[in-house]
Amino acid sequence: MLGFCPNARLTEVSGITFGKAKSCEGDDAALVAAARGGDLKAFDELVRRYQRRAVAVAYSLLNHRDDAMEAAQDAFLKSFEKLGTLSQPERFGSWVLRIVNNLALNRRRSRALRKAESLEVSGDEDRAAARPDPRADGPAETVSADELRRTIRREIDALPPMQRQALVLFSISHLPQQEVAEALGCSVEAVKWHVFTARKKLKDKLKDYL
Amino acid sequence: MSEIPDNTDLEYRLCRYLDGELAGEERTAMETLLAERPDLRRELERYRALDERLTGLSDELPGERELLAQRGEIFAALERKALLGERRVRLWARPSVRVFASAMAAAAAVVVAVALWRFLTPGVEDRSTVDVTILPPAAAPDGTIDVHLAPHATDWAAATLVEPVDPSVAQPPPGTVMVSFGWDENGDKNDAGMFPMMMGF
Repeated sequence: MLGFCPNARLTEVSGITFGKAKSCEGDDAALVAAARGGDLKAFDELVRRYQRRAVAVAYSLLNHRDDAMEAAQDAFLKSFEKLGTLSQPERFGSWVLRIVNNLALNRRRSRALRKAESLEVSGDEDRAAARPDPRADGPAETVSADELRRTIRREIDALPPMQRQALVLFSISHLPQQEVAEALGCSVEAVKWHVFTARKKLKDKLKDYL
Repeated sequence: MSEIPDNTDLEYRLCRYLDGELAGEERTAMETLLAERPDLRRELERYRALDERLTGLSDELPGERELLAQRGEIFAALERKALLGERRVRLWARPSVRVFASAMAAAAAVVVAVALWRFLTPGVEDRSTVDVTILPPAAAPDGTIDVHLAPHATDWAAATLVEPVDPSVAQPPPGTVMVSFGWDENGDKNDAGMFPMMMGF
């Protein structure tokens, strides 16, 4: 398995390898050890392994693709700086996803703060736009696809954090339950329950559209 | 987790059925129920419709191309950081740079020391007073002797001629004597700290 190689130069400066990987296979612990020794290609392989999950976790909190991408990228760069502090290299995945989670949470809080300061004028307009027209025959026929999408996203955003994250990771990002559990730091059974609860709430909230 | 229900919760089992998690007897039992209860079939369809709506949102997630581009950015950022850090550290690690830097530091220390010494030594005029060692006549049979100037007598440009030493008066014995002398800016200057002086003994 050969990972991503954006710069195919084969140079080495004081043990830091650019280009061909010293180790692109093997478990996370081996890759972490190589990355600690300056093997950037090994770290690139770690990024490749967890990138999709990292972005999904960030998206589950931020509900915005670009913000999620930025949070994930920041998390990987931060994790590289802090690799030396990782006491269990074999658990790199859950460690980096925790970093993503924390950074995304910080962004979410900052965003909420900014939103609160702007008096949510635009949010009220969105809600008004997404509200079904009572004069129409039925909401499913009158609400456009974009409006329905906004409504669903808003309802998802209103879910409790664990339910929202579990739902987004499982039902939107389509991560396996085991990976969702690892990302959220809970059991698979808990993931099932959170997803179920979130689905049930959404089904009830969106009953006019389903 | 105490919140988690057992499989008796019908709706929970319905979702598990939808996710393909029921097998064997559980699955058969659910299919029997669905066949018997239209309301349950309706619920199943709602959940299925919801799942389709949710799956539709997945197009908001970045695709493989965007993820690849992001990995490129991460890699480039780390590469830049590594190279910058390397340059910062490695510069001092090179022997040639270390030697050069040490020499420069030593030279700077000498300059500072000389400057301090000159600042602290009394009187500019004293710079024209130098210690000389006059060799005995035997060492200078032609009557020319070497005057060995002391190291601090370097301020020739600023020195002025005071008065040559009259050896018949001073009668300096062989050895070290104090001689006052100087040169104006147009006068002859020694070039290596050695100055020939005619003296009669």
